Parts: sequence; structure tokens; C-alpha cells
Amino acid sequence: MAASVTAWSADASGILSIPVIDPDPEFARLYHRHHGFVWRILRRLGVPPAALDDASQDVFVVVHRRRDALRTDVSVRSWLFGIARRVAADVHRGQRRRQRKLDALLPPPDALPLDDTLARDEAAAFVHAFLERLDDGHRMVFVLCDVEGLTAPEVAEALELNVNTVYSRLRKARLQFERAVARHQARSKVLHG
Amino acid sequence: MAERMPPEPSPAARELLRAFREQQSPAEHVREHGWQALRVRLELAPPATSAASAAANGAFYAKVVGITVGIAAAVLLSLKLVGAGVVALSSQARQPAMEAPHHGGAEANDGTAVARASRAEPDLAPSTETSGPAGAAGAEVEAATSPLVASEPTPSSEAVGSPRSRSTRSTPAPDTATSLASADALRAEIAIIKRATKALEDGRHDDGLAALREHAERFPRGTMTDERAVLRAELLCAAGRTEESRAAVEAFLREHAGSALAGRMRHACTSAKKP
Repeated sequence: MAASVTAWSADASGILSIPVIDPDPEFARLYHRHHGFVWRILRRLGVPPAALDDASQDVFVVVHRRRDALRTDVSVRSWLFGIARRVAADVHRGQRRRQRKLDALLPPPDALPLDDTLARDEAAAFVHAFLERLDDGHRMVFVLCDVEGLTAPEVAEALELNVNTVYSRLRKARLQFERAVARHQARSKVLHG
Repeated sequence: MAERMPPEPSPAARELLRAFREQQSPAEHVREHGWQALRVRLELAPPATSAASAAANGAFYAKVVGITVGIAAAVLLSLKLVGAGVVALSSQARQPAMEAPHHGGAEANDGTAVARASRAEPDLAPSTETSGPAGAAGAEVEAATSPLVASEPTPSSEAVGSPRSRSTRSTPAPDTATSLASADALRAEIAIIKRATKALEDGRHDDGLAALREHAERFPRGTMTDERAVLRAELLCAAGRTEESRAAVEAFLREHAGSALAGRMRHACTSAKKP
């Protein structure tokens, strides 16, 4: 991707010309294609809803700054995942620091408002609950493969794992998920006839 | 032993996963707001939009256009002031020129007048914070920026009734100046907001609030007024001024319930009441 903003320059008469703004359509396409992925990954990595907007912007600020460093042999989504993971870690550090200060000042907060969308959708709530029960290693493999649609090699690259490890974890997570789905369907039949 | 790809999920499992993915995804307007905010952060020009998205982004563009037109008009006024300075100094020089009427002397006087006016120009405008290019080009930007940033009418500029602020409304703007000016105004806004954010992170609450007051004075109707409001509530809360923070949260949510920052504002002070 080419740089989007050229250097400031003066013309022959010495008048400063405006910086030439290149809309950088490639960066715009990358943003619009992968914003949802980045958003969901940040959410999955525990970034609070109130911080998702800023955190996803932070990811793309890094992407914009380092877009020339993207190698052609690396999956864009693996690369984005790596950046999102670092941004999420920064958010957690900031949150903990701020929360310590707030805890000292304020009474315990009310329960966080439920994500309305999630609460309303039984299916999504079911998957959410299942993911919470999975251990960290299996959870992220399962999410990247079966929610985000990354290939096993892409997941291996993103998580710095052996591809065989990815297959192994995915197999186990899918098996657990299928069992949970079967129980969920059986329970639904009992409840709703 | 090499693992093989496990069996694909069943249709029921795939359906649940699809629903989960949809529920976890940001809404279209969130993505678009994020794109606009990202462009501001990256200091890019607002993108060309389709008719559909233009309506959604109308408020953003109105702000940018407002800033741009005002800033450009201020540049024109500055040029006008320079011209006035030239005329004034020329008339002062007319007397000695009449006493010694030769072309060389008249040219010398005109040159002096222009130089004086140019030197005086920075004094006419308040200094402005800019992260623009350094060196000679940076000095040019600074000279062009100062009156432009001041185009947001501040109480002080209105009070002194500067001729620049009076003439910013009716004069058409040169394209070069307007683009340069809007980028610099946004850059200045971002710099202040960043300063306030850093102060919040560092626990320097008074510094953060002072930065926000500066933003309010310089950009009362700036592009980042929502960010300013949220940061103010967060700073007040972090400083232990919870009642003021709650009031700020409630006022913001009353006026800007549909703002993309409403969610963040609700969490600005965790015990704040939600209207």
C-alpha cells in the first residue's frame, strides 16, 4: 500500500502547497473488510464494550502506520489478530490502572448493562456460554476457525502454534460444541414441545 | 503423527455460530463512525461519499466545512491586513518620497512596507499548537495556521472585536488555504484531546481538565466536542468529583442519546445514573 499523505512542499513561487491527500483506497478497503473481524476479536479478547470503538481504531492506526511492513506471505487476518491482541493487552493494563483508582473512590458499581443484542438472542447467548466454559487455548482456536473462518494454517500463524496443534484443539472443541448443541436441542424440545 | 482436519460442524452448530457472529459484529453505523474518527486521527481528508452515506455523515461534514470556510476567510482577512499595512506604510513613506522623487527610493519604501507588514502578521494572531512539518515549511504552516485556527469564534476574540473575526463570514475562500486550514484545525484539536487523554491516564486530572477548557475556548463547536464531553466526565470521576461527573453524563446522554460515544459515556463514571 502506498503512503497516503505526501510531504509538504513549496512551488516555484514559494507558496506552500497543500499536502496532497491520497484517499488510499486500499487502506479503506482493508478497514471496511476487516473492521468486523477486529471488533469481534477485541471483544473476544475481553475489551469492554465501552472501549471497543477506541480499541478498534487503535488497531487500524497501527495498521496504517505499519501497512508497508505487511508481508505478502502473511495472512492479513493473522497479522490483524496479532495487532489486536497487543491493543487488547494495552486496554486491559489501562483498565486495571483506572479501575484501581475508581475502586478507591467509588462504591461497587451496579452490574454492567447486558449487551442487549446478545441478551435477546438465545443462540448467541448459548455460544457465548459455551465459549466461557472452554479453556483459553481451545477457545481462541475454535473462535478463529469456526466463527471467523480462518484456515488452520492462518490460525497457526496467528497464535504461533503448530498446525497439528490447531487441528487437535479444533477437533476437541468441535466435539464439545456438538455435544453441547445436542443437549441444547434436547432441552429446547422438552421446554417447547 | 500428523493430525487431520477434524469433521466440519453440523448444520445446527453452523447456524448457532452464524447467529453468534452476527450478534457480536458492530452495526454498520458504528463501523462508519469508526471510519470517520479514524480518518480524523490519521489526519486524512473526509472521504468522498455515496448519497446514502452522505446523509449519515452530514454532521461531520458540516463541522469540517464550517471550520474550513471560517479559516479560509480568516486567511483572506490576514492578506487584507497585510495590504492595509502596505498602504499605510506607503502613505507614510509618501512624504519623503515626494521630497526625493526617484523610482529607486519608492521601490525601496514599498519593499520595506511589505517586510514590516509580514513581520507584524504573527502578532495579529494567537499562537496555535500544531504538529505540522518543521523547518521553513513549518514556519509557513504556522503563519498560515494561526489565523485559521482562530476562526472558531472564541470569547476573547469576540471581546476584542478583532477585524479578522468580523470579516471571516462574507469572503470566499481560496481552496489551498481552506484545505490547509481544516487539516491544521483538526490537528490542533486532536493534539489537545490527546493531551487530556494522557493526563487522565497519568492521573493528572487538573491538567486534563485544563486542556479540555482550552479546547472549549478555542473550538467551542469543534469536530471533537463529543470526545471532549466524555473525557471531561471521565476526568471528573477519576478526580473524585462524582456528582459533577454524573451531571455531565446525564446532560450528555439527554442531548446526545444517539451519539456513537453514548456507550462510552455511560461507563464514564460507573456509578453514574443512566437517564
